Amino acid sequence: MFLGAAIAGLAGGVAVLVLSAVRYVTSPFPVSSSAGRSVFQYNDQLVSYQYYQVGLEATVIGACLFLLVAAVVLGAALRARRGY
Amino acid sequence: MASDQSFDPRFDPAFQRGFGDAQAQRTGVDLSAPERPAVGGPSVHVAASGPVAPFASPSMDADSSRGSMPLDAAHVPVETRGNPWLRALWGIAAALIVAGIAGQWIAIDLFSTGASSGSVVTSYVLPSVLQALAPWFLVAGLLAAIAAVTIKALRWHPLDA
Repeated sequence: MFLGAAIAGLAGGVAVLVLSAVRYVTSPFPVSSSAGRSVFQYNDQLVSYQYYQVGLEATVIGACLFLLVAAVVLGAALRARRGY
Repeated sequence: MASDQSFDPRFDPAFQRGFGDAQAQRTGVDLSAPERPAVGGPSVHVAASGPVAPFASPSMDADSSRGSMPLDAAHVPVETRGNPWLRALWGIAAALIVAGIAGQWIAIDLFSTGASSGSVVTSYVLPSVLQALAPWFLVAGLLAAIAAVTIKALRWHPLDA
């Protein structure tokens, strides 16, 4: 149960993170000479971006990672107690 | 002096023909057989009432020496080597620690050189994601390793070594 929840949470967190990154990449800003940002080429146009900041997705992924580790620790402890 | 066919209680039966356990075991005689000391004559009386009682239960002695186990050997250790969960825990710990260190390393490298690569993914996205996730990976991996070592230590027994 813990293992399933952890894997589902990890998949959900990664999916949200990928969606957020895709949305960021596909939403550039126009080039401005006064913004002081790096210029990139996107769809044969020069564009600029703000710095990408990871939101709550990283926290969700990290928490689910801890849940995954806890589930495996629980399984190992119970298996070791049974003695095989 | 006792004859060859009688038991002499003054001496250890192991050194008397037909009465010693060692000889019986060497020749393959069944020690539990009741006819073993059937020599007849007064020597049987002496053997039954004498201070030496090797005949009382030779088969019990032999069985106990053969079948018994020392106390330490009777200990059944809890096996953790075949535990697939523990193996998975070690694997997860190693993978997470390596991923955490590598993620931090790559993030720093991309932050310093990625802007010149011309791609926004390698310049902004990837370094930010790696920098946000690497500490989680590293801490979770260290916790997994600590948990694995703790389980192994709790289940350790001196005889397992």
